[in-house]
Amino acid sequence: MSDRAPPETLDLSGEVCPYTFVRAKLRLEELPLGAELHILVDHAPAAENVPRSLAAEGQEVVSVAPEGARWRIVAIKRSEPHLMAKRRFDAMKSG
Amino acid sequence: MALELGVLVAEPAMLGRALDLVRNVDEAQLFLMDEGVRAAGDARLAAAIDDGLDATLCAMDAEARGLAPTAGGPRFGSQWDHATMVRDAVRVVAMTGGRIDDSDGATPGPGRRVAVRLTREARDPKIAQALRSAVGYAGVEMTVTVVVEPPARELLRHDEHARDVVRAIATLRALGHRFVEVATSSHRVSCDIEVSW
Repeated sequence: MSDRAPPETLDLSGEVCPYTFVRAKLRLEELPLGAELHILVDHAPAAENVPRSLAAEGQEVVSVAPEGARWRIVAIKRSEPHLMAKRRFDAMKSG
Repeated sequence: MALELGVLVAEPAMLGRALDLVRNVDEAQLFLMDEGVRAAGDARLAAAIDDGLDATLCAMDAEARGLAPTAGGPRFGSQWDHATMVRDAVRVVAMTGGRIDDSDGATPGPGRRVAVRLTREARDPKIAQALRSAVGYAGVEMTVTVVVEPPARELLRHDEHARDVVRAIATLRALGHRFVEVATSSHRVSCDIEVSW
């Protein structure tokens, strides 16, 4: 039996670039190495571009699958992003 | 191989000049955004891509203008492509429709210092594009300074701007990036790369 924490979901429905990749990166920053993050996007370009940016930054992209009008991107944190020194991002989330 | 040259084009009329720049460079990238995406169907660009040019455009800006991917045209990418180009290219040339910036020689990579100069009135749509791209720069670990020239001063006077502008300002501030108001367009700030809008 795995002791890995259940995957977290980051719902980025309604978000567009660059907030899609920045918010995904920030969320990964908060998770431990090996954690699984499910990212939901509903903007078609994000379904291609977010996985590409995550992979380029050393994260593992397990899958990208359509789910109704959205896409579910499953990623595993394999490297430490150093985006914001653990700064919270409430301003961006609230829009 | 290191990326020698990155060129940002945000006005279609700049395409010819951009292609002249990349013509004899082995490792060059071109990124089209804002009104620059309208150059996506230009035959000269298709020929350059056919010759090996790495060209990408902002899919969101293309979508907003009703443009769809075409065979032989630029790749539909994101601000991440733009930001990594500005972060990693040895030389960066920015043609956004105002002055042309040509930054050369600074060490590429994370931590690179980029100044985004706002030269227009706060309500000009290019200001929103400038700030959106600045958020992208922050997202690839560059250090951003937003330089506010006199025409854009209203930006920092109140919060009654377009929602995307307010959000970008809040985001950049929350992430610890700076806004600097300057008295003249000739006032320089310390940076490695400059992109004027």
